[in-house]
Amino acid sequence: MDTAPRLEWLNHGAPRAEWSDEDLVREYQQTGEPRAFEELVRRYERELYNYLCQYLGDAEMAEDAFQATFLQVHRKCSQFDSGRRFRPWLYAVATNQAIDAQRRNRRHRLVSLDQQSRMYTESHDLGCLIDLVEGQEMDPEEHVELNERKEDVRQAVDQLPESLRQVLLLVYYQGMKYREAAEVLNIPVGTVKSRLHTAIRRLEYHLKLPRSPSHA
Amino acid sequence: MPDCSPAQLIGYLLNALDEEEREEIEQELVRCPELRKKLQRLKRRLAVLELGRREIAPPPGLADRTCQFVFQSCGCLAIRHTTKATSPALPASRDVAGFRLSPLSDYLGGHGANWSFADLVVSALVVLIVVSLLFPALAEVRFRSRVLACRENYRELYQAVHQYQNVNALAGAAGIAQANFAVAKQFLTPPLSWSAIRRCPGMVVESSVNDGSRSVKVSESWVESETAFDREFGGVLLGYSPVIHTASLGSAIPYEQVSLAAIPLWRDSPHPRDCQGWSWNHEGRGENWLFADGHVAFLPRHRTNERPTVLQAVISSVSFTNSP
Repeated sequence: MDTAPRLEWLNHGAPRAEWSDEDLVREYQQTGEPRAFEELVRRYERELYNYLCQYLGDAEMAEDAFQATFLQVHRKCSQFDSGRRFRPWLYAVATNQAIDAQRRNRRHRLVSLDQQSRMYTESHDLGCLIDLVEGQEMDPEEHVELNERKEDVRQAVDQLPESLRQVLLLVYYQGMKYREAAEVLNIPVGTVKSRLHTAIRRLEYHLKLPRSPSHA
Repeated sequence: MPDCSPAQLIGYLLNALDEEEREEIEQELVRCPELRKKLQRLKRRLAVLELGRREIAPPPGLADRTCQFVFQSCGCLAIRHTTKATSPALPASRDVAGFRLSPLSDYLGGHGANWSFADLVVSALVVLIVVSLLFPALAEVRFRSRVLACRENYRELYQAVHQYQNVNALAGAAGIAQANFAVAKQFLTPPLSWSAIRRCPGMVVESSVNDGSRSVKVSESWVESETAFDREFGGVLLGYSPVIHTASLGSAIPYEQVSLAAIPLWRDSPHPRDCQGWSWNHEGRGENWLFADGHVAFLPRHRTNERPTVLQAVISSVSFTNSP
Protein backbone atom coordinates (compact mmCIF):
# COMPACT_ATOMS: atom_id res chain seq x y z
CA MET A 1 0.00 0.00 0.00
CA ASP A 2 1.35 3.45 -0.88
CA THR A 3 1.35 5.37 2.37
CA ALA A 4 2.55 8.68 0.97
CA PRO A 5 -0.91 9.81 -0.15
CA ARG A 6 -2.29 8.81 3.24
CA LEU A 7 0.40 10.86 4.97
CA GLU A 8 -0.33 13.75 2.68
CA TRP A 9 -3.99 13.39 3.47
CA LEU A 10 -3.21 13.31 7.19
CA ASN A 11 -1.19 16.47 6.72
CA HIS A 12 -4.09 18.07 4.84
CA GLY A 13 -2.04 18.28 1.68
CA ALA A 14 0.48 20.57 3.36
CA PRO A 15 3.97 20.82 1.90
CA ARG A 16 6.57 18.64 3.51
CA ALA A 17 8.14 21.60 5.23
CA GLU A 18 5.06 21.66 7.46
CA TRP A 19 5.00 17.98 8.24
CA SER A 20 6.10 16.70 11.60
CA ASP A 21 9.49 14.99 11.88
CA GLU A 22 7.80 11.71 12.64
CA ASP A 23 5.66 11.89 9.51
CA LEU A 24 8.71 12.61 7.39
CA VAL A 25 10.58 9.64 8.86
CA ARG A 26 7.56 7.44 8.35
CA GLU A 27 7.34 8.46 4.73
CA TYR A 28 11.04 7.84 4.21
CA GLN A 29 10.77 4.48 5.96
CA GLN A 30 7.91 3.36 3.80
CA THR A 31 8.59 4.90 0.42
CA GLY A 32 12.27 5.90 0.49
CA GLU A 33 11.25 9.33 -0.76
CA PRO A 34 14.49 11.37 -0.81
CA ARG A 35 12.63 14.65 -0.37
CA ALA A 36 11.49 13.54 3.07
CA PHE A 37 15.07 12.78 4.05
CA GLU A 38 16.31 16.07 2.63
CA GLU A 39 13.67 17.95 4.56
CA LEU A 40 14.85 16.34 7.79
CA VAL A 41 18.49 17.17 7.05
CA ARG A 42 17.63 20.79 6.32
CA ARG A 43 15.40 21.05 9.35
CA TYR A 44 18.16 19.93 11.70
CA GLU A 45 21.11 21.39 9.81
CA ARG A 46 21.71 24.35 12.06
CA GLU A 47 20.59 22.89 15.37
CA LEU A 48 22.45 19.60 15.10
CA TYR A 49 25.58 21.15 13.64
CA ASN A 50 25.67 23.57 16.56
CA TYR A 51 25.26 20.76 19.02
CA LEU A 52 28.03 18.74 17.43
CA CYS A 53 30.31 21.77 17.24
CA GLN A 54 29.75 22.43 20.89
CA TYR A 55 30.20 18.76 21.75
CA LEU A 56 33.34 18.18 19.71
CA GLY A 57 34.87 21.63 19.74
CA ASP A 58 36.00 21.22 16.16
CA ALA A 59 34.20 22.35 13.04
CA GLU A 60 35.59 19.66 10.73
CA MET A 61 34.85 16.85 13.14
CA ALA A 62 31.39 18.29 13.66
CA GLU A 63 30.72 18.26 9.92
CA ASP A 64 31.92 14.66 9.63
CA ALA A 65 29.80 13.65 12.59
CA PHE A 66 26.82 15.45 11.10
CA GLN A 67 27.13 13.49 7.86
CA ALA A 68 27.72 10.24 9.73
CA THR A 69 24.64 10.92 11.84
CA PHE A 70 22.38 11.20 8.85
CA LEU A 71 24.01 8.20 7.24
CA GLN A 72 23.01 6.26 10.34
CA VAL A 73 19.53 7.74 10.21
CA HIS A 74 19.26 6.52 6.63
CA ARG A 75 20.51 3.05 7.51
CA LYS A 76 18.61 2.58 10.74
CA CYS A 77 15.42 4.38 9.93
CA SER A 78 13.70 1.02 9.60
CA GLN A 79 14.44 0.50 13.30
CA PHE A 80 12.85 3.79 14.30
CA ASP A 81 9.79 3.18 16.39
CA SER A 82 7.08 5.38 14.97
CA GLY A 83 5.55 5.70 18.43
CA ARG A 84 8.60 7.61 19.65
CA ARG A 85 9.68 11.15 18.95
CA PHE A 86 12.27 11.68 16.25
CA ARG A 87 14.30 14.45 17.87
CA PRO A 88 15.62 12.47 20.87
CA TRP A 89 16.39 9.54 18.59
CA LEU A 90 18.32 11.81 16.22
CA TYR A 91 20.25 13.31 19.11
CA ALA A 92 21.03 9.85 20.45
CA VAL A 93 22.47 8.89 17.06
CA ALA A 94 24.38 12.18 16.86
CA THR A 95 25.78 11.78 20.37
CA ASN A 96 26.99 8.29 19.55
CA GLN A 97 28.61 9.57 16.39
CA ALA A 98 30.28 12.37 18.33
CA ILE A 99 31.60 9.87 20.88
CA ASP A 100 32.93 7.70 18.06
CA ALA A 101 34.57 10.71 16.45
CA GLN A 102 36.22 11.58 19.74
CA ARG A 103 37.50 8.03 20.13
CA ARG A 104 38.89 8.05 16.62
CA ASN A 105 40.65 11.26 17.31
CA ARG A 106 42.77 10.14 20.23
CA ARG A 107 44.09 13.54 20.87
CA HIS A 108 40.69 15.12 20.69
CA ARG A 109 41.14 16.99 23.92
CA LEU A 110 44.38 18.60 22.90
CA VAL A 111 43.19 19.28 19.42
CA SER A 112 39.89 20.67 20.54
CA LEU A 113 41.53 23.09 22.90
CA ASP A 114 43.84 24.10 20.15
CA GLN A 115 41.23 24.27 17.43
CA GLN A 116 38.60 25.86 19.50
CA SER A 117 40.17 29.22 19.09
CA ARG A 118 40.44 28.61 15.34
CA MET A 119 36.92 27.36 15.04
CA TYR A 120 35.41 30.28 16.76
CA THR A 121 37.44 32.85 14.98
CA GLU A 122 34.79 33.28 12.34
CA SER A 123 31.90 33.30 14.72
CA HIS A 124 33.90 35.46 17.05
CA ASP A 125 34.46 37.91 14.26
CA LEU A 126 30.78 37.85 13.60
CA GLY A 127 30.12 38.20 17.29
CA CYS A 128 32.50 41.12 17.46
CA LEU A 129 30.69 42.82 14.65
CA ILE A 130 27.40 42.31 16.34
CA ASP A 131 28.87 43.49 19.59
CA LEU A 132 30.26 46.49 17.78
CA VAL A 133 26.84 47.28 16.43
CA GLU A 134 25.14 46.57 19.71
CA GLY A 135 27.82 48.03 21.84
CA GLN A 136 28.15 51.37 20.27
CA GLU A 137 26.97 52.72 23.55
CA MET A 138 29.02 50.06 25.38
CA ASP A 139 32.18 51.05 27.09
CA PRO A 140 35.18 49.38 25.30
CA GLU A 141 36.36 48.11 28.66
CA GLU A 142 32.99 46.53 29.31
CA HIS A 143 33.09 45.03 25.87
CA VAL A 144 36.43 43.37 26.48
CA GLU A 145 35.28 42.20 29.84
CA LEU A 146 32.14 40.66 28.36
CA ASN A 147 34.17 38.77 25.78
CA GLU A 148 36.50 37.49 28.44
CA ARG A 149 33.54 36.41 30.48
CA LYS A 150 32.08 34.52 27.51
CA GLU A 151 35.37 32.75 26.94
CA ASP A 152 35.58 31.85 30.63
CA VAL A 153 32.13 30.28 30.56
CA ARG A 154 32.86 28.34 27.38
CA GLN A 155 36.10 27.02 28.76
CA ALA A 156 34.43 26.07 32.02
CA VAL A 157 31.77 24.16 30.08
CA ASP A 158 34.41 22.42 27.97
CA GLN A 159 36.29 21.35 31.05
CA LEU A 160 33.30 19.64 32.62
CA PRO A 161 33.40 15.85 32.74
CA GLU A 162 31.84 14.21 29.71
CA SER A 163 28.72 12.95 31.48
CA LEU A 164 27.91 16.36 32.97
CA ARG A 165 28.70 18.24 29.77
CA GLN A 166 26.40 15.98 27.74
CA VAL A 167 23.46 16.78 30.00
CA LEU A 168 24.23 20.48 30.07
CA LEU A 169 24.49 20.68 26.29
CA LEU A 170 21.27 18.80 25.74
CA VAL A 171 19.09 20.41 28.38
CA TYR A 172 20.49 23.92 28.64
CA TYR A 173 21.88 24.66 25.20
CA GLN A 174 19.66 22.43 23.05
CA GLY A 175 16.53 23.06 25.11
CA MET A 176 15.58 19.45 25.60
CA LYS A 177 13.25 18.23 28.28
CA TYR A 178 14.65 16.05 31.03
CA ARG A 179 12.76 13.10 29.66
CA GLU A 180 14.16 13.58 26.17
CA ALA A 181 17.72 13.98 27.41
CA ALA A 182 17.30 10.79 29.41
CA GLU A 183 16.13 9.06 26.24
CA VAL A 184 19.09 10.39 24.26
CA LEU A 185 21.64 9.31 26.82
CA ASN A 186 19.78 6.18 27.82
CA ILE A 187 19.87 7.00 31.51
CA PRO A 188 17.12 7.57 34.09
CA VAL A 189 15.45 10.99 34.31
CA GLY A 190 16.61 11.34 37.91
CA THR A 191 20.21 10.94 36.78
CA VAL A 192 19.75 13.68 34.20
CA LYS A 193 18.41 16.02 36.87
CA SER A 194 21.20 15.33 39.30
CA ARG A 195 23.86 15.60 36.62
CA LEU A 196 22.54 18.93 35.44
CA HIS A 197 22.47 20.26 38.97
CA THR A 198 26.01 19.03 39.56
CA ALA A 199 27.16 20.59 36.30
CA ILE A 200 25.72 23.96 37.27
CA ARG A 201 27.27 23.80 40.71
CA ARG A 202 30.66 23.02 39.20
CA LEU A 203 30.36 25.84 36.72
CA GLU A 204 29.43 28.21 39.52
CA TYR A 205 32.48 27.07 41.40
CA HIS A 206 34.77 27.51 38.41
CA LEU A 207 33.33 30.86 37.50
CA LYS A 208 33.44 31.98 41.11
CA LEU A 209 29.76 32.65 41.10
CA PRO A 210 27.57 32.69 44.17
CA ARG A 211 26.17 29.27 44.94
CA SER A 212 22.75 28.10 43.80
CA PRO A 213 19.76 28.67 46.12
CA SER A 214 20.02 25.25 47.74
CA HIS A 215 23.34 26.32 49.19
CA ALA A 216 22.53 29.94 49.61
CA MET B 1 3.73 18.32 48.12
CA PRO B 2 5.40 19.03 44.78
CA ASP B 3 9.08 18.44 44.24
CA CYS B 4 10.74 21.86 44.49
CA SER B 5 14.33 20.71 44.56
CA PRO B 6 16.95 22.86 42.80
CA ALA B 7 17.14 20.36 39.93
CA GLN B 8 13.39 20.63 39.51
CA LEU B 9 13.51 24.44 39.62
CA ILE B 10 16.30 24.45 37.05
CA GLY B 11 14.15 22.21 34.91
CA TYR B 12 11.26 24.63 35.34
CA LEU B 13 13.38 27.58 34.25
CA LEU B 14 14.77 25.71 31.27
CA ASN B 15 11.36 24.35 30.31
CA ALA B 16 12.72 20.85 30.75
CA LEU B 17 9.85 19.54 32.87
CA ASP B 18 6.81 17.62 31.77
CA GLU B 19 3.51 19.48 31.74
CA GLU B 20 2.28 17.99 35.01
CA GLU B 21 5.45 18.82 36.90
CA ARG B 22 5.38 22.31 35.47
CA GLU B 23 1.85 22.90 36.62
CA GLU B 24 2.66 21.63 40.09
CA ILE B 25 5.54 24.06 40.43
CA GLU B 26 3.46 26.94 39.12
CA GLN B 27 0.82 26.22 41.72
CA GLU B 28 3.46 26.13 44.39
CA LEU B 29 4.92 29.41 43.15
CA VAL B 30 1.56 31.08 43.50
CA ARG B 31 1.32 29.80 47.04
CA CYS B 32 4.89 30.32 48.24
CA PRO B 33 6.65 33.73 47.93
CA GLU B 34 9.90 32.28 49.24
CA LEU B 35 10.01 29.87 46.33
CA ARG B 36 9.46 32.77 43.94
CA LYS B 37 12.50 34.57 45.35
CA LYS B 38 14.51 31.41 45.17
CA LEU B 39 13.51 30.97 41.56
CA GLN B 40 14.50 34.55 40.72
CA ARG B 41 17.94 34.09 42.22
CA LEU B 42 18.43 30.87 40.31
CA LYS B 43 17.29 32.52 37.11
CA ARG B 44 19.92 35.24 37.45
CA ARG B 45 22.62 32.65 38.00
CA LEU B 46 21.58 30.48 35.12
CA ALA B 47 21.59 33.52 32.86
CA VAL B 48 25.37 33.64 33.16
CA LEU B 49 25.58 30.33 31.36
CA GLU B 50 23.94 31.97 28.41
CA LEU B 51 27.32 33.59 27.75
CA GLY B 52 28.65 30.14 26.89
CA ARG B 53 26.17 29.59 24.11
CA ARG B 54 27.82 29.30 20.70
CA GLU B 55 25.78 30.01 17.68
CA ILE B 56 27.80 28.80 14.76
CA ALA B 57 26.38 28.96 11.30
CA PRO B 58 26.77 25.66 9.47
CA PRO B 59 29.07 25.77 6.45
CA PRO B 60 27.22 26.58 3.24
CA GLY B 61 25.75 23.58 1.47
CA LEU B 62 26.11 21.23 4.45
CA ALA B 63 22.65 19.77 4.01
CA ASP B 64 23.15 19.18 0.29
CA ARG B 65 26.55 17.63 0.81
CA THR B 66 25.14 15.42 3.52
CA CYS B 67 22.30 14.18 1.33
CA GLN B 68 24.69 13.50 -1.51
CA PHE B 69 27.08 11.68 0.84
CA VAL B 70 24.31 9.53 2.26
CA PHE B 71 22.76 8.61 -1.07
CA GLN B 72 26.13 7.91 -2.67
CA SER B 73 27.35 5.86 0.27
CA CYS B 74 24.29 3.71 0.20
CA GLY B 75 24.34 3.18 -3.50
CA CYS B 76 21.27 5.32 -4.14
CA LEU B 77 22.85 6.93 -7.16
CA ALA B 78 19.58 8.14 -8.57
CA ILE B 79 19.45 11.31 -6.57
CA ARG B 80 16.46 13.05 -7.86
CA HIS B 81 16.35 16.19 -5.84
CA THR B 82 19.80 16.94 -4.45
CA THR B 83 21.61 18.75 -7.13
CA LYS B 84 23.15 21.77 -5.54
CA ALA B 85 26.15 20.07 -4.00
CA THR B 86 29.42 21.09 -5.52
CA SER B 87 32.10 19.20 -3.62
CA PRO B 88 32.00 15.42 -3.29
CA ALA B 89 32.23 14.06 0.21
CA LEU B 90 34.90 11.48 -0.60
CA PRO B 91 37.79 11.54 -3.02
CA ALA B 92 37.13 9.40 -6.06
CA SER B 93 40.66 8.12 -6.31
CA ARG B 94 44.12 8.70 -4.95
CA ASP B 95 47.68 8.49 -6.11
CA VAL B 96 49.99 5.96 -4.55
CA ALA B 97 53.57 5.76 -5.76
CA GLY B 98 52.67 7.16 -9.11
CA PHE B 99 49.73 4.82 -9.67
CA ARG B 100 46.23 6.08 -9.69
CA LEU B 101 44.25 3.76 -7.48
CA SER B 102 40.54 3.63 -6.99
CA PRO B 103 39.28 3.17 -3.46
CA LEU B 104 38.61 -0.45 -2.64
CA SER B 105 35.17 0.60 -1.54
CA ASP B 106 34.39 1.18 -5.22
CA TYR B 107 34.91 -2.50 -5.81
CA LEU B 108 33.35 -3.79 -2.64
CA GLY B 109 30.38 -1.46 -2.71
CA GLY B 110 31.10 -0.27 0.81
CA HIS B 111 31.57 3.27 1.96
CA GLY B 112 34.11 5.28 3.78
CA ALA B 113 36.73 2.50 4.03
CA ASN B 114 38.80 4.08 1.27
CA TRP B 115 41.04 1.04 0.89
CA SER B 116 43.05 0.56 -2.21
CA PHE B 117 44.28 -2.60 -3.87
CA ALA B 118 47.72 -1.78 -2.57
CA ASP B 119 46.32 -1.90 0.98
CA LEU B 120 44.66 -5.21 0.24
CA VAL B 121 47.82 -6.75 -1.23
CA VAL B 122 49.95 -5.62 1.69
CA SER B 123 47.41 -6.95 4.19
CA ALA B 124 47.20 -10.28 2.39
CA LEU B 125 50.98 -10.58 2.37
CA VAL B 126 51.19 -9.89 6.07
CA VAL B 127 48.55 -12.53 6.76
CA LEU B 128 50.37 -15.05 4.57
CA ILE B 129 53.67 -14.44 6.34
CA VAL B 130 52.08 -14.87 9.74
CA VAL B 131 50.35 -18.08 8.65
CA SER B 132 53.54 -19.50 7.14
CA LEU B 133 55.36 -18.82 10.40
CA LEU B 134 52.67 -20.41 12.49
CA PHE B 135 51.94 -23.45 10.32
CA PRO B 136 55.08 -25.56 11.00
CA ALA B 137 54.75 -24.98 14.71
CA LEU B 138 51.11 -26.00 14.65
CA ALA B 139 51.84 -29.07 12.53
CA GLU B 140 54.58 -30.14 14.93
CA VAL B 141 52.28 -29.83 17.92
CA ARG B 142 49.57 -31.78 16.11
CA PHE B 143 52.02 -34.51 15.19
CA ARG B 144 53.26 -34.88 18.75
CA SER B 145 49.79 -35.04 20.19
CA ARG B 146 48.74 -37.72 17.73
CA VAL B 147 51.79 -39.85 18.48
CA LEU B 148 51.07 -39.52 22.14
CA ALA B 149 47.45 -40.48 21.67
CA CYS B 150 48.42 -43.61 19.67
CA ARG B 151 50.96 -44.56 22.24
CA GLU B 152 48.46 -44.35 25.05
CA ASN B 153 45.96 -46.44 23.15
CA TYR B 154 48.52 -49.17 22.71
CA ARG B 155 49.57 -49.13 26.30
CA GLU B 156 46.00 -49.70 27.34
CA LEU B 157 45.60 -52.58 24.93
CA TYR B 158 48.75 -54.18 26.13
CA GLN B 159 47.69 -53.85 29.72
CA ALA B 160 44.31 -55.35 28.96
CA VAL B 161 45.82 -58.39 27.29
CA HIS B 162 48.43 -58.74 29.96
CA GLN B 163 45.85 -58.67 32.71
CA TYR B 164 43.82 -61.29 30.97
CA GLN B 165 46.89 -63.40 30.60
CA ASN B 166 47.79 -63.04 34.27
CA VAL B 167 44.32 -63.88 35.38
CA ASN B 168 44.37 -67.02 33.33
CA ALA B 169 47.93 -67.90 34.38
CA LEU B 170 49.05 -68.21 30.85
CA ALA B 171 52.42 -66.59 31.00
CA GLY B 172 54.78 -67.43 28.23
CA ALA B 173 58.40 -66.93 27.44
CA ALA B 174 57.84 -63.75 25.48
CA GLY B 175 55.33 -62.22 27.81
CA ILE B 176 52.39 -63.22 25.73
CA ALA B 177 52.07 -66.93 25.55
CA GLN B 178 50.43 -69.16 23.10
CA ALA B 179 47.26 -68.93 25.11
CA ASN B 180 47.40 -65.24 24.58
CA PHE B 181 46.89 -65.95 21.00
CA ALA B 182 43.64 -67.59 21.89
CA VAL B 183 42.88 -64.63 24.10
CA ALA B 184 43.50 -62.35 21.24
CA LYS B 185 41.20 -64.40 19.11
CA GLN B 186 38.45 -63.95 21.63
CA PHE B 187 39.40 -60.42 21.99
CA LEU B 188 39.26 -59.55 18.36
CA THR B 189 37.13 -61.69 16.17
CA PRO B 190 37.16 -63.17 13.59
CA PRO B 191 39.56 -65.93 14.61
CA LEU B 192 43.10 -65.74 13.44
CA SER B 193 45.07 -68.09 11.36
CA TRP B 194 48.56 -69.31 12.04
CA SER B 195 49.79 -67.32 9.16
CA ALA B 196 49.13 -64.23 11.20
CA ILE B 197 51.77 -64.99 13.77
CA ARG B 198 54.35 -62.29 13.74
CA ARG B 199 57.94 -62.05 14.69
CA CYS B 200 60.77 -59.74 14.19
CA PRO B 201 61.66 -59.15 10.57
CA GLY B 202 64.49 -61.09 9.16
CA MET B 203 64.65 -63.50 12.06
CA VAL B 204 65.67 -67.01 11.31
CA VAL B 205 65.29 -69.45 14.08
CA GLU B 206 66.64 -72.88 14.22
CA SER B 207 65.84 -74.73 17.32
CA SER B 208 66.17 -78.24 18.41
CA VAL B 209 64.45 -79.92 21.22
CA ASN B 210 65.23 -83.18 22.72
CA ASP B 211 62.24 -84.62 24.49
CA GLY B 212 64.10 -87.67 25.61
CA SER B 213 63.02 -89.98 22.93
CA ARG B 214 63.76 -87.97 19.89
CA SER B 215 65.17 -84.63 18.89
CA VAL B 216 63.33 -82.22 16.72
CA LYS B 217 64.99 -79.55 14.70
CA VAL B 218 62.87 -76.75 13.38
CA SER B 219 64.16 -74.24 10.92
CA GLU B 220 61.99 -71.20 10.68
CA SER B 221 62.31 -68.05 8.64
CA TRP B 222 60.19 -64.94 8.62
CA VAL B 223 59.09 -63.30 5.50
CA GLU B 224 57.05 -60.25 4.77
CA SER B 225 53.70 -60.68 3.17
CA GLU B 226 50.42 -58.99 3.00
CA THR B 227 47.60 -61.02 4.34
CA ALA B 228 43.90 -60.77 4.69
CA PHE B 229 44.52 -60.44 8.37
CA ASP B 230 46.16 -57.12 7.89
CA ARG B 231 43.24 -55.79 5.99
CA GLU B 232 40.72 -57.14 8.41
CA PHE B 233 42.33 -55.71 11.47
CA GLY B 234 43.74 -52.55 10.05
CA GLY B 235 47.26 -53.77 10.47
CA VAL B 236 47.20 -54.57 14.11
CA LEU B 237 49.69 -57.26 14.90
CA LEU B 238 47.84 -59.44 17.22
CA GLY B 239 50.28 -61.78 18.66
CA TYR B 240 53.60 -63.32 18.83
CA SER B 241 53.77 -66.79 20.03
CA PRO B 242 57.14 -68.08 21.03
CA VAL B 243 55.65 -71.49 21.36
CA ILE B 244 54.54 -73.39 18.34
CA HIS B 245 52.31 -76.34 18.41
CA THR B 246 52.64 -79.05 15.96
CA ALA B 247 50.18 -81.78 15.98
CA SER B 248 52.72 -84.17 14.77
CA LEU B 249 55.01 -83.52 17.67
CA GLY B 250 52.25 -83.51 20.20
CA SER B 251 54.10 -81.14 22.48
CA ALA B 252 55.24 -77.62 22.60
CA ILE B 253 58.62 -76.73 21.28
CA PRO B 254 60.07 -73.71 22.99
CA TYR B 255 62.01 -71.45 20.74
CA GLU B 256 65.12 -69.75 21.82
CA GLN B 257 64.58 -66.68 23.87
CA VAL B 258 64.77 -63.38 22.12
CA SER B 259 64.85 -59.95 23.56
CA LEU B 260 61.33 -58.94 24.44
CA ALA B 261 62.11 -55.35 23.64
CA ALA B 262 62.80 -56.38 20.03
CA ILE B 263 59.61 -58.31 19.47
CA PRO B 264 56.82 -56.24 18.03
CA LEU B 265 53.41 -57.33 19.07
CA TRP B 266 51.06 -54.75 17.69
CA ARG B 267 51.30 -51.79 15.48
CA ASP B 268 48.88 -49.36 13.98
CA SER B 269 48.24 -49.37 10.30
CA PRO B 270 50.83 -47.57 8.26
CA HIS B 271 48.83 -47.54 5.09
CA PRO B 272 45.94 -45.22 4.33
CA ARG B 273 44.02 -48.11 2.85
CA ASP B 274 44.18 -49.96 6.13
CA CYS B 275 43.17 -46.91 8.04
CA GLN B 276 39.67 -46.99 6.63
CA GLY B 277 37.30 -46.98 9.52
CA TRP B 278 40.15 -46.70 11.95
CA SER B 279 38.89 -44.88 14.93
CA TRP B 280 42.10 -44.16 16.74
CA ASN B 281 43.88 -40.97 16.22
CA HIS B 282 46.45 -42.28 13.84
CA GLU B 283 49.47 -40.28 12.81
CA GLY B 284 50.16 -40.96 9.14
CA ARG B 285 53.86 -40.25 9.10
CA GLY B 286 54.79 -43.46 10.86
CA GLU B 287 53.51 -46.15 13.13
CA ASN B 288 53.28 -46.86 16.77
CA TRP B 289 54.67 -50.21 17.71
CA LEU B 290 53.95 -52.11 20.86
CA PHE B 291 56.77 -54.42 21.82
CA ALA B 292 56.58 -57.55 23.85
CA ASP B 293 58.16 -55.92 26.88
CA GLY B 294 55.31 -53.43 26.97
CA HIS B 295 57.07 -50.38 25.59
CA VAL B 296 55.60 -48.43 22.75
CA ALA B 297 57.68 -46.61 20.18
CA PHE B 298 56.71 -44.38 17.34
CA LEU B 299 58.63 -45.43 14.27
CA PRO B 300 58.75 -43.03 11.33
CA ARG B 301 57.61 -44.32 8.00
CA HIS B 302 61.10 -44.76 6.56
CA ARG B 303 61.90 -47.24 9.32
CA THR B 304 58.81 -49.33 8.85
CA ASN B 305 58.82 -49.37 5.04
CA GLU B 306 56.27 -47.69 2.90
CA ARG B 307 54.38 -50.84 2.19
CA PRO B 308 52.22 -52.34 4.90
CA THR B 309 53.96 -55.49 5.83
CA VAL B 310 52.97 -58.51 7.71
CA LEU B 311 55.56 -60.84 8.92
CA GLN B 312 54.73 -64.40 8.39
CA ALA B 313 56.49 -67.33 9.80
CA VAL B 314 57.36 -70.02 7.37
CA ILE B 315 58.52 -73.24 8.79
CA SER B 316 60.94 -74.36 6.25
CA SER B 317 61.97 -77.65 7.69
CA VAL B 318 61.22 -79.93 10.52
CA SER B 319 63.44 -82.89 11.02
CA PHE B 320 63.14 -85.64 13.53
CA THR B 321 65.91 -87.69 14.87
CA ASN B 322 65.19 -90.61 17.05
CA SER B 323 67.24 -90.59 20.15
CA PRO B 324 69.59 -93.36 20.52
